[in-house]
Amino acid sequence: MTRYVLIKVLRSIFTLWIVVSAVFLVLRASGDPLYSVFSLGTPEATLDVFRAKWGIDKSIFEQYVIYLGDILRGDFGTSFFDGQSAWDLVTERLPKTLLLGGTTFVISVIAGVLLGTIAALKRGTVWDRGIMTAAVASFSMPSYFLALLLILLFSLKLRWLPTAGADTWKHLILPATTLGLTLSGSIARFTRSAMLEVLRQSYMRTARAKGAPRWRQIAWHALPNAAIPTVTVIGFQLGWLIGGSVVIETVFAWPGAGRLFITSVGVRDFAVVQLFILMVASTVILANLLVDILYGFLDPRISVTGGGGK
Amino acid sequence: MSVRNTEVKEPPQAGAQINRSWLGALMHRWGLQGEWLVTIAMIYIGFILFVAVFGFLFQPYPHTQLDLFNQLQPPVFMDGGSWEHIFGTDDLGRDVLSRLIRGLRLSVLIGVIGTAIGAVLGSFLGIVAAHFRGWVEEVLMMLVDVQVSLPFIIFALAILAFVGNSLTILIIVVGIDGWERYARLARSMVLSANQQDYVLAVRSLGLSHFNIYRRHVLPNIMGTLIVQATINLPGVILLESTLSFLGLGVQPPMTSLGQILGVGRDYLILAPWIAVLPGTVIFFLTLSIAIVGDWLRDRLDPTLQ
Amino acid sequence: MIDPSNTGPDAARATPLLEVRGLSVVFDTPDGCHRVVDNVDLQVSAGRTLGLVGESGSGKSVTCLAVLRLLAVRGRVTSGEVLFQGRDLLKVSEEEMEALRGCQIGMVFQDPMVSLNPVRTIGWQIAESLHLHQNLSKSGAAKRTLELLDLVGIPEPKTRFGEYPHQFSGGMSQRAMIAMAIACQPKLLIADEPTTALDVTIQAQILELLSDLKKELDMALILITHDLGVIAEAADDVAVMYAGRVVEEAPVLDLFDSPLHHYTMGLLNSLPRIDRSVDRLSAIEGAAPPPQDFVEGCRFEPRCGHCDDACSGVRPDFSQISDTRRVACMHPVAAT
Ligand SMILES: Nc1ncnc2c1ncn2[C@@H]1O[C@H](COP(=O)(O)OP(=O)(O)OP(=O)(O)O)[C@@H](O)[C@H]1O
Ligand code: SF4
Ligand SMILES: [Mg+2]
Repeated sequence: MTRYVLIKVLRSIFTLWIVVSAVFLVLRASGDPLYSVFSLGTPEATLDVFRAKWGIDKSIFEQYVIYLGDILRGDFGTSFFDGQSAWDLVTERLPKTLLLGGTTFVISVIAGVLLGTIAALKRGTVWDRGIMTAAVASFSMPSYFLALLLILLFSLKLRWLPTAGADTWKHLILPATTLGLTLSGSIARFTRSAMLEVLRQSYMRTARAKGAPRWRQIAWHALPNAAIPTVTVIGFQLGWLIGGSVVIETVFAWPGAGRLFITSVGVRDFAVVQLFILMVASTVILANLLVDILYGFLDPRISVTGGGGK
Repeated sequence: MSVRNTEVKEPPQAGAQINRSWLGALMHRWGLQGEWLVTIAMIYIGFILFVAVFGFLFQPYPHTQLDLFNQLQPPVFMDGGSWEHIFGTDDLGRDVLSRLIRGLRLSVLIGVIGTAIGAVLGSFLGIVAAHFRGWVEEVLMMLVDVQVSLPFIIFALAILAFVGNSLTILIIVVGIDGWERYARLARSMVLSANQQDYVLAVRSLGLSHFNIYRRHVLPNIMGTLIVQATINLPGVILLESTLSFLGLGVQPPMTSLGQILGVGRDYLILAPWIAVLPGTVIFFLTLSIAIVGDWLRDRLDPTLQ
Repeated sequence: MIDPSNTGPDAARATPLLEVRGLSVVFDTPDGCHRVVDNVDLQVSAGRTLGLVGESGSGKSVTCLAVLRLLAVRGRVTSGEVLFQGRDLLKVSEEEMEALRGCQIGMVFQDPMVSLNPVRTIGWQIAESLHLHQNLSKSGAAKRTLELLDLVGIPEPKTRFGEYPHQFSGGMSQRAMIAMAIACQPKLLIADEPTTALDVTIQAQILELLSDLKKELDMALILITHDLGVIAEAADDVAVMYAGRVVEEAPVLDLFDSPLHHYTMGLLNSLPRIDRSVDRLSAIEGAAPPPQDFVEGCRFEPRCGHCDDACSGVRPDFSQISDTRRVACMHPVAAT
């Protein structure tokens, strides 16, 4: 088990390093960021001062080494625009993002697992067909379009809910619904197929042969087995959720880190974009690491085989 | 779609009854009996493809033509609409129907080419990894890890903003989405195909690697890869539309469905049709492809997830 | 009905514990519906072992699953009665059935490795039976589980209790399955090929274990197998199944002594024996038909060397040869 975790951790760190380097390559190799900040007529001498200040007058390799060192020291640079530290800019907005993402995630997982289980248990019935059609529809829907439709209906026509901002819990409803519908749709689909796979295993028949009542067969025998593949998939969905919330925060003017990312991308604010990407990547990698470890707990077959896990 | 030719061959007879029967016969031939949802989805996809390819023939105005006297004019089915602009006009008085036709064309084009790029690239890398094994495979799986660690849309936005934006870059970026799925799939399938007796036998006959892959391995894994591509296609279309919606995808004067929606977002109260029409077209397109993709997978390859 | 003197010393059996009458099971598959169990009669009494023998696919497992109402969704019983202690199990409610399963009737499944839940410990799975049917405290159930593990011959019960199925070998899993099935001291135990896929020494141990338990708990035992050697060793009575039908019933000694059905004869002939070198030619040619190839009339007809027109028209009726023997053949072996 320890060996298994250790390998996973090392692999995660390595992956993160590649992401960090790739970000550096893509963002730095894309030309002089100064031109997006200063107007064309700015004298070269002024530019040089700023180049020196921001460390972009050195060779690309030197820059890379400095960049890595800065990151290791937790120095993520300053925004080209308002001179604030990128760390402050992003972390300031994180609570709102976590609020939206966390709410969505918890509700979607519960709803998705529940609906997927129902669909599997009622396989072939109207329930199954209904839930699955709704699931396919929910992730075929462009999330920003769903957002606009909801705004159109609930904010502009019915005037029940606000269109933008994040001041009250009412502001949370529309963005969380938009994100949650898609997420619970795909979780429901995965849960259903995992559940169906489990239900046709022989050990489910053993449970019946013991005289276990239906609910017990499902809660104590089927779900723990179906959880194993489902947890992996839910781990992957976290990345999707972050990507989706970037778009949804923008549509609902939700003052979170995702919206900051879109604005910063628009003005090529290097430090902020870089920090945001690193945070997202570390979050997803960490989540997958947790999923891997959780997997080891859920599936007793892994803990004994030790390393590799394959 | 070649179906259309066979449809026409049926003797033309009167009445809706007949209509239903040739459709029924066709559905039967395609193994679609009882699958009304799939059939409707296929017809819709056929219609969209037709509009994407031949739509320009029916396009009432150039998609950039301004009509400053008729800004934000509602579509014909709403109060104040006129037949002059069937689907109304946008903020600059441009004809929404014409823009939809043009936008659809580019969205479909990017979706299809992008999917093809991802499928070919991913499958190729997967096959290479399975062939060489060792460190080549390790590197590939590492890249897959990296790809999985970053939500693709964030990656795409960063590239488009910092590396630059042109139609070519957009198509390539959109195409990269999902490469890791093909790579994994192709790798594992080739690994198992290589173990199969007939491949071992053919190899012992001295056929070159290239020929073995082309003639024996590829045909076997092609079906699965195509199903995977069908399942990926809606995602690619959605990705492009989202990027364009956010203003970082297709740039004016070119237009795509997502971009029209992005404009419509600012006129949601005054002119909801600008956003709702393209959104509906995209939604039903991705939904139809997803339905057909699921059906294909269940029919051809139940092993895929 | 059955002559006690013929079948064993302590076989005083007025009414059988389980009596299956005219049971038919149909599976609805995409390529049609197949009657894989056709009008099967069986009976077994307390303290006795009924051996159910037949080639793969002859419907042995399906018959037993139907008795416990555990058929897969697309399988359904179309006719028949399953009388357990005089009560028709096919008519009782699902709740009553749940109370019977695992308590009065235990079942050991064909493949123990996949019949145990991979994410639950062996101890948990055995204790669950106790928990479901007996009012035991948690520690009481654990203690009883340890006893059961010991009873079925699993060494070091304390360590094994907390282990998972993947840590168990085939033989050990089979023992765990048996422990689970007998946990509540059922009156009837159905063991579906409990020894297949085990090596010979373990096979013998498991059979011995089963017959010991049978004596100890005074159970009725239905032992399913396609191995006549197992039948010879462990069964009191035998029912031979072919293509979904019982074709011959007899006490075990009579069956080996003088088989009446040509299929039974073929099975016996394919058995290696000390007094005779294996004669490959005398084994039955061809293979057991899948349900879609079932023929009208005697289903063994395509492979039978003694058939005539009478065999292919109608299903052969049972003829009662003696009190204890029945055969469904137009031209039974002894008569030809
Ligand atoms: N779930 C099912 N769906 C369709 N057909 C089934 C199903 N289960 C069993 N059958 C069919 O029922 C027939 C009898 O199967 P059964 O499992 O009872 O055979 P068996 O005598 O136990 O054979 P074995 O020695 O292989 O266990 C087989 O032809 C099989 O194809
Ligand atoms: S009934 Fe006829 S075909 Fe069937 S076993 Fe007897 S002799 Fe053979
Ligand atoms: Mg069986």
